[in-house]
Amino acid sequence: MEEVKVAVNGTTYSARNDQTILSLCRDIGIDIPTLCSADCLDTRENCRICVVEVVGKARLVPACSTPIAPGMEIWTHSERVKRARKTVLELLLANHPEDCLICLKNGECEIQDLAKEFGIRERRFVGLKKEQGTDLSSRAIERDPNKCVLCGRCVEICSEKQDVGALDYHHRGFDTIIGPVSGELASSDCVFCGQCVLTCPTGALRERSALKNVWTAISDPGKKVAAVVSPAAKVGLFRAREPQTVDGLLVGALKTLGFDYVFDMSIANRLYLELLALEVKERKAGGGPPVIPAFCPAVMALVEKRYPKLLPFASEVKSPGQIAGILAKRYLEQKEDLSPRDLFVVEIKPCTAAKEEANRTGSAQNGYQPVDGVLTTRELERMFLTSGIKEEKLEMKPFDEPFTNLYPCLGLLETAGGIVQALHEAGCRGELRKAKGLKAFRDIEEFADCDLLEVYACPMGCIGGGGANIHSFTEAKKHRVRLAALSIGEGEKPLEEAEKAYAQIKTDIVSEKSAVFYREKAGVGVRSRS
Amino acid sequence: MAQSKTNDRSVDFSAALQGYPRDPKYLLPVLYKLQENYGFLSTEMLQEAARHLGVPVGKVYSLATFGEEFRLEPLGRCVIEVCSGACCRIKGSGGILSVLEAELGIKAGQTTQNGAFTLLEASCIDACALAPAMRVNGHLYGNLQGGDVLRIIKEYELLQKSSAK
Amino acid sequence: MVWKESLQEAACTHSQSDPCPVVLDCLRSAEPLCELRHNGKTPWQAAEENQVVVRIGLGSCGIAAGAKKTYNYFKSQLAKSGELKDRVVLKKTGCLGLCSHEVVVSVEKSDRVVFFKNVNIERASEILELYIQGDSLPEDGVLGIVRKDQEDGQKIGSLQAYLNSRVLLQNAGLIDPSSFDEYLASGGMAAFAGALKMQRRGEEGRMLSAILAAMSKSGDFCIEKERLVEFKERSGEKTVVLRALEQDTSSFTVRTILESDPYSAVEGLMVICVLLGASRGLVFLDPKFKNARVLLEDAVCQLQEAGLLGEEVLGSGFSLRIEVFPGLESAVCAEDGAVFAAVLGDRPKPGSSGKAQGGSLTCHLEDAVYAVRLGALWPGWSEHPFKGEIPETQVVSLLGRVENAGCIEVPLGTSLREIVYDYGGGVENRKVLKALQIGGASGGFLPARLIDTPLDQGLLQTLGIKRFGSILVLDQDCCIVDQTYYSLKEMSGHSCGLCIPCREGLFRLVEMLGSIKRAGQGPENLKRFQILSQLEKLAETIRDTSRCSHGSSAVTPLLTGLTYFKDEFRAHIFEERCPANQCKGLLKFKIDAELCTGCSICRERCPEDAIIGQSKFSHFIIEDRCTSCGICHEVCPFGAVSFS
Repeated sequence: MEEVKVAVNGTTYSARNDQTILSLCRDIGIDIPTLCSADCLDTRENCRICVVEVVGKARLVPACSTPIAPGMEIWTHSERVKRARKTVLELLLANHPEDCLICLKNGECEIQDLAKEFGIRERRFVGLKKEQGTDLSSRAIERDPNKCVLCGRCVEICSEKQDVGALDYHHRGFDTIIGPVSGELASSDCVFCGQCVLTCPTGALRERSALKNVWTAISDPGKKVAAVVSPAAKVGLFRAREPQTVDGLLVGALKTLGFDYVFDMSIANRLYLELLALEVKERKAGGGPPVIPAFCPAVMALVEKRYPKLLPFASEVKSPGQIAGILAKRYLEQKEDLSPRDLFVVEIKPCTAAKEEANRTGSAQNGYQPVDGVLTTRELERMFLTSGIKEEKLEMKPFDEPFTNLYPCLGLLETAGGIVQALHEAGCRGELRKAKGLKAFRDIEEFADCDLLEVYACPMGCIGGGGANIHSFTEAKKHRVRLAALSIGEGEKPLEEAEKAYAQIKTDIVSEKSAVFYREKAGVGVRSRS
Repeated sequence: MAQSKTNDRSVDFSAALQGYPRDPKYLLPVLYKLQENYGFLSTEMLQEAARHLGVPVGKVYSLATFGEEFRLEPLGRCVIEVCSGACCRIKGSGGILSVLEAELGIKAGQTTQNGAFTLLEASCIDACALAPAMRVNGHLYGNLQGGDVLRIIKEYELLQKSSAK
Repeated sequence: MVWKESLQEAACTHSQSDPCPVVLDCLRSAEPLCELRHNGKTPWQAAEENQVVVRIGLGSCGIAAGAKKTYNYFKSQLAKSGELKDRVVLKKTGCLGLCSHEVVVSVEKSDRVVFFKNVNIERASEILELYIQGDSLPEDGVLGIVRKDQEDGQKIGSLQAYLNSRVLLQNAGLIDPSSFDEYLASGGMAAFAGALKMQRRGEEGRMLSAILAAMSKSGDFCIEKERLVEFKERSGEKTVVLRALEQDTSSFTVRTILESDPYSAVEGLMVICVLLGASRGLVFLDPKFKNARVLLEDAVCQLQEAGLLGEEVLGSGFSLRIEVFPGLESAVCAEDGAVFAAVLGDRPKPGSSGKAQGGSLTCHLEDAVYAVRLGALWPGWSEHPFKGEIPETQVVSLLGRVENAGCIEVPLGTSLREIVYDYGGGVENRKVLKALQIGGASGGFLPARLIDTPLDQGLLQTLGIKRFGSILVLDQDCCIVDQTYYSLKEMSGHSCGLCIPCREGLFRLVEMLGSIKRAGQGPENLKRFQILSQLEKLAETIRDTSRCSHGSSAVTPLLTGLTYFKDEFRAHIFEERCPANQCKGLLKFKIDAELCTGCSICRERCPEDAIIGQSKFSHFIIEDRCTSCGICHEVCPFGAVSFS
């Protein structure tokens, strides 16, 4: 790696000889527009938006993939380059719906930004546009092929990073599209982790919104709406405020929105760990295979769809979100004398797969779903926006009894490595192993002799989930720091009191081996619907 | 040239793949083999190929929709291939295609509703000296002029009707 | 024949007791390789005293012209007569390359070979009666006469001279493509044996350099030398992928070679593998070449049985495996990235260098066959690389409005005039030449006034193509706008779809060209005026920003069309007129009352119900309703529909 001299827009700079033009320009503060480039993904050089002019080359070259060479003369914003970029974007717009005002990504869309940057004022190319129906097969992710710009980021993330391979290019020429086999995500290999949604520059891939149902429930005088807040949801909100204020602000915001009850998930987390530890102990004693926690719904979907032979490995303990829903409904039924029919529990978690999980037929217990809707962090932000909620004006409020934040430290469950760490700290003995993402399933034999194998589908765990308000892996890393900050310190009560409260809840609501906290026998596919 | 062979879902596709190593590199030969045996590539066949080679079915589907030769739907009973190679095109194959599209009520690449005819645009059927040419069920018709096309199709239509009786 | 010389050098009369020191000993058969060849007879030495050999071209275009019927006719006639059966040998050959003359039959008798053209059953019986049983030639239908003892003829256009000058196609139409014996007899496997010999002595680098030197006289025309040398030095398992793909969308050169002389292709790959130290060779075949696939797979089988493929070939310590790999259509594999991806089972990403192709290299079919021709002359011990130079030639597919369409081989530097008028026999029906489109759907137009341009490196650069494939002849009745439209449509359909300029841009160009091939209505007319500059600018942007050569070369027809034939475009746009009367959307259709019989076929099929008339009375087209789709013109059995 040596230093070489190159000229950019007439000025000479020092560069490393293994850099690309784009990387160099970033270093020196020149913004070259890009579309198909994304953090942490290989370059695809598809979009041709980042083209620049290099003296001596007949054609324009993509900055993202062209390495610099000593003595190179680069022009990033010459007339020729600007005209070419504009034409390329216009070609894209010619095959894109004119839906900006009613699109989910209005204001957050990368091609809106580019159109503004390039100064597009007319539609020069008018002709056929692709017209395909939106894929509504899944409860977690919606796919609108008309808005797809074929940048290929989702394909890369799904096959290279997540090792799922549900999305790929199909057909050829003008008819090229990106999608799952036979056009339906639900029946494809998709595990609903939502990483594709995070990386999509337009509104082509988005979470299936539960907002309508939630608003309807809130405005229904006959229904009581309870929110259950997961630790990872707190990470993305009120980022500028002190960590110890986040709980109060969030509860205040949710109450302003109209939620009748706001519960924290820490008690459910605690119960989950207890039941999981018990299961590990029992499996080990019985000589059974390692336990793969059902904490992550995407992991369960992967097992059911691609590795059905591993179904005996799957844990039978429900995820904390589901447990929280059951606890909430039971409590409210007992103590407030409310029928489950009149209750609407909303899980707030940056998880798209949870939306699919909440709708499984098998989740229903005694005729009710534990969780009636899942809201991602992004959806919550939209609720704040339409309700005019301003951070500065919020009144801090506490979580509702008895499901307060007794165990903030259990927030670590929502980062990768969290389950193993929590179990160890809880004194669980056994060979507990961590897998590095979904790729681990390829070499599952390596883990055959352990007692528990923890797998999180999303990079960094739930804080990097498909519903988080981030766009890239780099942003997820910041979330980890934030989560740590939110997880330290005591909860609402000092530990002794917390334990007492917890024990009380167990006596009142949970009976020792209550079947309701265990999943139906592994094998019921995600295709089942309520 | 190509005729539909079977839609039978109970057929064991894995038998056709036995000669091929379980290596992702053999995806294209495997797909050609399946299509050769069964006339087209059904979803089950694609899944079998995926299983055999150890690749996600999405990848198989991606390549199957890319290759010009692959059909994902069974062909009709009568397959018409209109040559649109340079030679034939210059001698008017475009007109032949529009006549057939109008007559059969389908576009190139489609099959009629009753499964009787499939109309395909083929790129060069090796009959350059007889341009413009078309192939019907493998039978070559060259030097097409005037009302030839209609006359030929009518013959096949009659054949279809009489065999249906 | 040019290879006659090499035959005298390489083919020998050695036997087991007097083994040949030149070629490798074949341990498997305990006989020298030359012995295998010794048993087979050279094609032109097949005829013993009084024996007559009849050869029938059964390549794809031959079969399309009815060659099977001709063959069966001869077969049945010979079977009937005992006398004929003894005297006459019937053989199948591949395609001679002169497609317009199919069915081609050659009759070898005493000192000459007579080639007959357009041999249907009637002519076949004439030939049988007049020339085979008798001694006189039929009045017409003689393509040419080749005397076995005469060397190269002088006149271009004489069949003898033409056949003598062929290098790559030297066996095409003369040998049975499925016969390993005939291939050996005509000098086959000498190059491979020579290469193995050099490899055993560790001197394959010398042979490689000599071949490269001979091939690269015209610069980077053939193989990139540096890449080859680097590949040779590399260790580990190596694969050479033979690109058995057409060079452009209209060409049928490769198909011709593969169907007529598959062994040359396989041997070429084998030679390149040995010289580069690759233990695996892959014939990457266009799936459309169904006949060729059968021939190639059969050839590989036969070679394996003869011990020329497999572990430790001929005891040399060199292991070689050849596989025939049905890949993807030629049009999407112009870039090597696509080939490498396909070979790994991935969806092609043409512009990428591709993963894991460090151990693989591609080689064009023509280069491989040329290496065989050169290699066959390799003496092995001499200091001089090649005795007897082989001229550099180009194989091109000549097609379109030309008298004699076909796959021809011409010396490098031959002018286009010679190709079209001498080899091709001139424009069909004596019409006036308008232009040539060289390079298929991604090739450029060359107007008639540039007909004296030679076929060489300079022309490649002008057109922006890498190698010659097809030459499409267009006459005064061909519309450049129409041809451009179809070229772009084809390229757009073959786009891999990854990058915006090619995927979206080519499609929009097609839409724009489609719109000027139709009469405009109302406000659309205003847009037409902008189209001319829009077309050019968009084409240039696509050329400048495409991810790979597919997009950037796809606009060549448009850009050259605008350069040389702008007036035609202008006429379409500003005058709504097609000078060649081809673009139906700009024509007015009329029914000639005299010719119309009132059969009503057109009326029934008019999509706009624009034709009126009673049965048995002449019909009439309502101009206002007519959208000029041209269907009535197509379907009328009496030619009563005309246009202006």
